Amino acid sequence: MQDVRQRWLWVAAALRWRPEWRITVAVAFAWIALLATHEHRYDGRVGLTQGAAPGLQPGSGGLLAGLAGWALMAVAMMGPVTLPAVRHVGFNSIRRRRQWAMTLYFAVSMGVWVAFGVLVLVGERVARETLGLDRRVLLTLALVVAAGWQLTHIKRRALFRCRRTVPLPPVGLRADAACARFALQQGWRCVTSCWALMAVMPAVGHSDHAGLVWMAALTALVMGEELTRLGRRLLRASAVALIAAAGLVALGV
Amino acid sequence: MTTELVRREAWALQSTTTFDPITLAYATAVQVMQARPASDPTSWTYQAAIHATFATPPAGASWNDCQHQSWFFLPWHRMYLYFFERIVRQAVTDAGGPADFALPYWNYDTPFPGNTLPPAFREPTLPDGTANPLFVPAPRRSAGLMSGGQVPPTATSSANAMSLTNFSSPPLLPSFGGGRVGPAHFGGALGALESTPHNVMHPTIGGPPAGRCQGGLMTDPRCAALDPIFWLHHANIDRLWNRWLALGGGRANPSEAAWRTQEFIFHDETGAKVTLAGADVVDSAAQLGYGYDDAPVPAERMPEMAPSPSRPPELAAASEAPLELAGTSASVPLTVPSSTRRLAEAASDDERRVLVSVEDIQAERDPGVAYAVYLDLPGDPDRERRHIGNVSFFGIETMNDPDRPHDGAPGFRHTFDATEVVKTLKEQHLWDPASMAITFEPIRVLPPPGVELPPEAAAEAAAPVAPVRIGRVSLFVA
Repeated sequence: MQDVRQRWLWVAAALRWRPEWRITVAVAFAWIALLATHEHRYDGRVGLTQGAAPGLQPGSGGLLAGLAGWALMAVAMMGPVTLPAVRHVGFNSIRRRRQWAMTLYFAVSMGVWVAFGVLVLVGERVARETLGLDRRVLLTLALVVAAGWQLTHIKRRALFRCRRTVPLPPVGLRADAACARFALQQGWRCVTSCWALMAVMPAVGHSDHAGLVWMAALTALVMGEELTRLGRRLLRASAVALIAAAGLVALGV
Repeated sequence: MTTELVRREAWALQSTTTFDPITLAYATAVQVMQARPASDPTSWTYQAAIHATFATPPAGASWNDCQHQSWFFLPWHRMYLYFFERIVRQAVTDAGGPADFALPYWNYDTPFPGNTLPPAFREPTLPDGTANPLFVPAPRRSAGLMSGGQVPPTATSSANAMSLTNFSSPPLLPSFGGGRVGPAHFGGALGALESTPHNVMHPTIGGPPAGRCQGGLMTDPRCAALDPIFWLHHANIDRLWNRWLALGGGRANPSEAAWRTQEFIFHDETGAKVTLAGADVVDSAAQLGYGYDDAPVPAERMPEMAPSPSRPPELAAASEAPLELAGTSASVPLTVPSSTRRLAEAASDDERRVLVSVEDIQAERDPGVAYAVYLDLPGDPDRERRHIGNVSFFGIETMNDPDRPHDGAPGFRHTFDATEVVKTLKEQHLWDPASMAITFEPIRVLPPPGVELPPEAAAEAAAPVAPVRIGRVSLFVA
C-alpha cells in the first residue's frame, strides 16, 4: 500500500511539470481510435493496399464523415507537435484558468487543421470524381508536391517560427483572445509548414494498415522537424525519401 | 596534470606599466594570428568564426558553434578559451615570449579603476610605436569605455548568480549555468551567470552594432571574438565558474550524462581538430592545468537560496500590455487577479521563491544597450535595493535569422529570482502586490570620478536606441 502511495505521489509530482497531460491523453486516444477502427489488411506495398478501403477514409462516404476522420487524424498527427505550446499556455496562465486556456489553445489550433481539411477533402474529391485521377496518380502527385514543399524557403521559415509565443494577459477576455490568437498563429504556421505532408493522407487513406504506416511515418517526420534538434536538417533527407516513395508508388511497388 | 599556468588579472598586471610582459605578449600573438589567412584554424579570423561569423563556413569548418542560453554555455566557452590560449601561447613562445603564458582576465566587478577598460586596450600604439592590435576604436567598441568610462556595478556584479546553488534547472526556474536543453547556438534557457555579467558586459563593451562588424564588435556574437577584450571577458566568466564551485553549499557541476558526455570540436595550436566533452573540463586545474590568481573564497559564505522547488512556478501577476524599450526608463504595472491575490501576498513565505519573468522579448537586433530591472513599489526610497536583475539582448539577431542553421527561437525570456527583494520589502511592510510595477532603466557607462565623458562618448549615450519589445512581465511564486 505504501509502495502504491509512493508511486502515485511520484506520478503526481511528475504530472505537475506536465500540465498538458490531459491533452496528451486526448492525442493518445485519437491514435487508439484510429487503430481500433482500421481494417486489418496490408499487402506490403509502399503506397496503397490493393482494393482498400472505405470506412473513415476521406474521399469515401459523405464530406462530414470524411471531415470527422480528418479531424481524428489531425489530432493524432499534429497533436504531438502542439504539446510544447500547450504546456507554455499552461505554465503561463493562472491556476484557475489553466485547463480552460490549454483546452482553448488546443481546440483552436486543431480547428485550423479542420478548416484546412475541408479544402483538402473537396480538392481530393474533385481530383478523383471530376478529373478522374485514380488514387495511385493522386498519391504520386501528393508525394512529389510534399517533397518539393520540404525544400522551399516558406517551409523553412514556418519551421523556424515553431517556438514563437504570444504574450498572454493574466485574466479576462483579453487572456482568452490572446490564447486564441496564439493558437491561430501557431495553427496557421503549422499548416504552412506541414500542409503538403498532411495532403498525402487523403490520397493514401488511413483506414487500413498502409494508411496507419503512412500516418506513423509522417507523424515521426513532423515531430522530428518540430521537436528535435535535427529540425530543419531533416528537410532535404525527407524530400529525397518522399521522392523515392513517389517513384515506388508510381511503379506500383 | 598540475596547475602550471596562472591567469592573472589585467589591471593587476598593468598596475605599474601599460604593457607588462604578459599583456605585451598577448598583443604580439594577436598581431601574429591576425596576419594568418582565415583558412588557417590558428588564425584570428578562424578562431573568432568558431564562435559565430557572418562569413560562409568552408567545408568541414566547425564555425558558428558557440553555445548560449543552455547548460553548455560554461563548458563550451572553457574549451574554446583553453584551445585559443594554447594557440596564443605557441605564438608567444615562437616570438621568444614567456613559455608559461596564460590569458589575462578582466575582473570588472571592482571599484574604479578596475571597472574601466584596462589601459593596454585603450592605447593606440605599442611601446615600439607600431599599431596596438588590442586597441579597437569606436564605433567598434563603446566610445564611453574607450575614453575611460566606468561600467556600473549593476552590470558587473555576479552576486545574484553566485547566490544560486543549482547549476541547471527545469524550465522557468533560474539556475547558475543554464537550462537543460540540447546543444544549441542560442537555446533559450539562459543561466544567471550568462545573464549577468556575461550578457550585460557584451553590449556595454561593444556599444551599438552596425552592419557586418562595422559597429560594436562585442555586441554581436558574429563579431564578438574579433575584439581582443572578448577573451579577457570570458576568462573572467570562467574564473567565476571556479569560484561558484568553491563556494560549496551544494554547488556542483551537473552529473547527468547528457552534459558530461557532450563533445565539442575545436583546433589546437597545430591546427589539428580536437574534441573535449563536458566531463573533461569540470576541474580547470587538474584537467587543463591552469588556475587564477584571485583570492581564495572567503570562509564566510554568502546567503544561499532555497533549493529548487519541486513544484513548477505558479503565475501570480502579469502585465496586461506589451512594453517597448528604446533607450529610456520605462515601467509596466503588474495586474494581480483576484484568484491569485493571496498567493502574491504570501510570496516569499515558507521558503517559497518569487520569480520575475521578462517574456516574449523581440528585436531586430541587439540595440547595444542592456537594461537594469527594478521591482518598484510606491513609498520605497531605496532604489538599488529593488534591483532584481538585468536584461540584455545579446544574440537576439541570430535567433531572428531563419536561414541560419541554429536551434534557437525568437522571443526569449529572462527569469530573475526576486525572493530576497520581496522578503526585505515585507520586513519593511512595503510589500503590496496590487501596486507593483517593473521598471527598466538603460545601463550606461559612467564617467570616471571627477571627469566628464568626452563629446563622442556623450553623443553615443544620447544617440537613438533601436527598440526592443517586451511582450509580458510576470511574477511567479514557486
